[in-house]
Amino acid sequence: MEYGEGGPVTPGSANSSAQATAREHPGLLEVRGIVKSFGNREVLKRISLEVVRGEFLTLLGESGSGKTTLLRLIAGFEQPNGGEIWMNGERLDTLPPYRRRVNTVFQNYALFPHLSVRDNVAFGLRVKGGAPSEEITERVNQALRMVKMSEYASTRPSKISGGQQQRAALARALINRPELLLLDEPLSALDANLRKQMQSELKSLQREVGITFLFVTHDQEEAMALSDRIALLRDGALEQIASPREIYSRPATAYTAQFVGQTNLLRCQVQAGCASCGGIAIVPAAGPEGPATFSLRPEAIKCFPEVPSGAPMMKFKATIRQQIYAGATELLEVECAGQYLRVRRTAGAPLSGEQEFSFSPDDAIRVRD
Amino acid sequence: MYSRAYKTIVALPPLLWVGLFLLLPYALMFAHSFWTVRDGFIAHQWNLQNYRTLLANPVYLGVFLRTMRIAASVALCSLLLGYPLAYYLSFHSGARKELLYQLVIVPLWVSYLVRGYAWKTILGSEGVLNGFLRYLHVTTEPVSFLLYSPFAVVLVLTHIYTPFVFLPIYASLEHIPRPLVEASQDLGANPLKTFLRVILPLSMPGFIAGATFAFVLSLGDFLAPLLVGGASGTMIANVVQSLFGAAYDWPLGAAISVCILFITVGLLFATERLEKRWAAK
Amino acid sequence: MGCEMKGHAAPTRNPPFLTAYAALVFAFIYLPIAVLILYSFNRDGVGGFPPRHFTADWYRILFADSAIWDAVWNSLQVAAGAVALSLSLGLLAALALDRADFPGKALFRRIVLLPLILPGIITGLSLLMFAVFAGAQLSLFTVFLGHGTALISVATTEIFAGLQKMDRGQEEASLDLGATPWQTFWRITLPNLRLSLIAAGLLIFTLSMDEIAVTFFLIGRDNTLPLEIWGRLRRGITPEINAISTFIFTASVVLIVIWYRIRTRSIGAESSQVLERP
Repeated sequence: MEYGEGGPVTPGSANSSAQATAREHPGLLEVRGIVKSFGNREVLKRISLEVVRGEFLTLLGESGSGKTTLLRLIAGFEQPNGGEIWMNGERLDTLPPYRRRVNTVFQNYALFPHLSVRDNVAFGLRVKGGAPSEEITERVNQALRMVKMSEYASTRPSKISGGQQQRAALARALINRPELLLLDEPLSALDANLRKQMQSELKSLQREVGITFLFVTHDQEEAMALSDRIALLRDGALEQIASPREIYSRPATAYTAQFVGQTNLLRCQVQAGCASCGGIAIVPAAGPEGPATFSLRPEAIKCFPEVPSGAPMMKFKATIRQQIYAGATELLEVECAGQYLRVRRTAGAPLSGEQEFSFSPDDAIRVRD
Repeated sequence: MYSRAYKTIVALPPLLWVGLFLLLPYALMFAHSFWTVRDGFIAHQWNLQNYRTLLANPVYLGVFLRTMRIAASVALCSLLLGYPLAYYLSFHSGARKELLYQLVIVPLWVSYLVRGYAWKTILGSEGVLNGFLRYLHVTTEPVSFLLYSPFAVVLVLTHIYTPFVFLPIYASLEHIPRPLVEASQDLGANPLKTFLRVILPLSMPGFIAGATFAFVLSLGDFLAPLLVGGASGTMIANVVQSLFGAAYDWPLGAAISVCILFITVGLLFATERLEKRWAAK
Repeated sequence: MGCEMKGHAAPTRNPPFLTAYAALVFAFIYLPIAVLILYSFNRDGVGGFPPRHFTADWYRILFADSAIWDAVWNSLQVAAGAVALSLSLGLLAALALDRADFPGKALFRRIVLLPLILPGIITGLSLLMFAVFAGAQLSLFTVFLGHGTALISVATTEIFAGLQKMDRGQEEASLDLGATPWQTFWRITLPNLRLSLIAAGLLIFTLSMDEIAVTFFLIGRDNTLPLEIWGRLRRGITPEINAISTFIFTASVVLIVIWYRIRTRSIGAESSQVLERP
């Protein structure tokens, strides 16, 4: 589907200046050592990261982690107390918001109530002047078609539903062809079904249009479904930045392991390449000796008689305390020498008493606390 | 989000204007109260003579006290009329509440002069009320105390300020969560007790605000006395007015005005404190 | 008793005494006005009861009275000027109170309110002294300055409330989309304040038209309507005044109905701002 002529769309498009920029700066946005405080509270603590051109990067974290603040700093609504932000090799944080090639989709959409959907979408083009009104009309129609809001063009925002408002807000931002689109928890106000639908629409939209998306959310499932990379923020610092698969299967810290997906955290003592964690042993165990924490995902623990043959598996005995049915799968809460673990398997016959469990040592990831 | 320039542009003009056209004039009045009149001119000699005169001369004191009494009466009567009205509207008016509220507001917008004049025509010896009483053969002679007396002033001012008093009381009453009233009744309190223990205390902020407003504005009123007050209904503001007019003594007039100002500001400050304390309870 | 919301409790019973009392208070409030209107049609003018001889003569005399209409015109000019002045300064002041921190902010808030809570005579006299001090000639212009200054806080209060209700994100969105602060002000902030500005304007207009206390001390040769009426009252009652008063009353009612509609519309508009329909 055609987005429109000109402007940096994807690397390798007909626009030569875009190509040149892309070659020079594969990293579109660089956040360098940003510090931000509100009064006495330090919200962002010397945070640095890079946004790759054309990617869908999610800032994930709890409320208070600083993700929205970072977004607002990039948009230009806050000023950093320290550090710099660069885009395309030029300093960004010294520019006012209306001069940045960045647009935002707000959490509550912030559509202008006194303007129709059409006038909302056209706003960015009209204020900057330059384009003749026929061109503006054409681009607006195109943008509305892209988000499937053409039939509501003349309606006021107060008369359309939340999902429709969100689309209008998207169109309003995208029509300006920004280098970077910021999305501040845009789906949080929608109900569950609509949310899932909008997630897939958003993802395919980003692919089609090729614009770099910087997405903020506290919902880790959403982050994993949408992102090329996830940047997990915790208390104003970057905990880990990696692709969803990487962050899930190789979490760097205990916090990451618990925040993204569910996990079992085993407190162990490592000695001579062997980790002992209560009634469970992990061999081989890499890393320095002493106390260590290992993350073991519930689905990595296998239940007899599911043990695959051949692989060197760690075995342990545990008593089944609860069996929680969840349709396709079930969660077993088991107790092993005072430790409680969770095991996920496909739903099967009711189990009780003591059972033998096993897992591959490769699935036990050593994490920092 | 707002630049220094933006904030300066919005703050500076109003600040300058208010400084020049409000602060400065009030300060001038304050300054005048310390000057005197000499040979028909205002002499800029700083002294406390005016204030001494006010305290010593019984005439001024007398008018002042009368004014306080009138203002207090107005506040009281406005409350007696305004509170029950507000209570009725808030708790017992049902579907007609909106309409009745508008009906109360309308007179507020009708000219003060119009309302004062209307009472003049009603209360006069040849006025409507006397005509009415004679028509009913209740009296044969016109009743004279109705007009050109403190009574008339209180009546007119009460009429003017009852809607003013109504507003904050109504707002306070509307703010009382109805479940509280129900809880009180549920616990066995009859309507009177519920009123005294629940509703009245919670409506205190509006009560105080309304009463203060009526008192303060009546204190400085000079129009009603001129319309219906006659000689016996003169108030302190009329004295000030004449001092700025025929009885040329601006400094003395300024001194009285400063006193009124201090009483007003002091009262408002005190009631604001009181309201805060009551609201915090 | 069922489920009751704040302020909308079903009446438990209709207490007869309270209802009668409330009716009496209403009667008290409206009595003079009713008398006024009634007697404006009375040939013998004011006084006596009951009024006989219905006539519209007084209205005829009123319409021919050029002095009155001159005064009306003067009042309109002053009121229009006061609206313009108060709204502009009030708008700036409201923006400043909402967005800027400056030394003396709390003091400013109080001083700006003073003309509304102090008896008018004090403000009027202070301004008179200032006029003399500045060597200015008393005229409609000084009256206009007085009204405009005294009524700033009416505009400030109303507009400030409108600003607080406004969604802050809109201004951010506007800047985000490339509009400069100046453009944002004209395209987004002002339209959102439309209702506040109109409501404030109406109120200021009405207060200015009826203003006596401050005007009394600042008036020059040309009279405003209230002062013209005042002058005639001092000289002796003419029943024509009844006609004028009825006229003013009717105009006031129309204005307040309009004002009320605007107020309730603004409350209605914001409650339907963001709908959440599936």
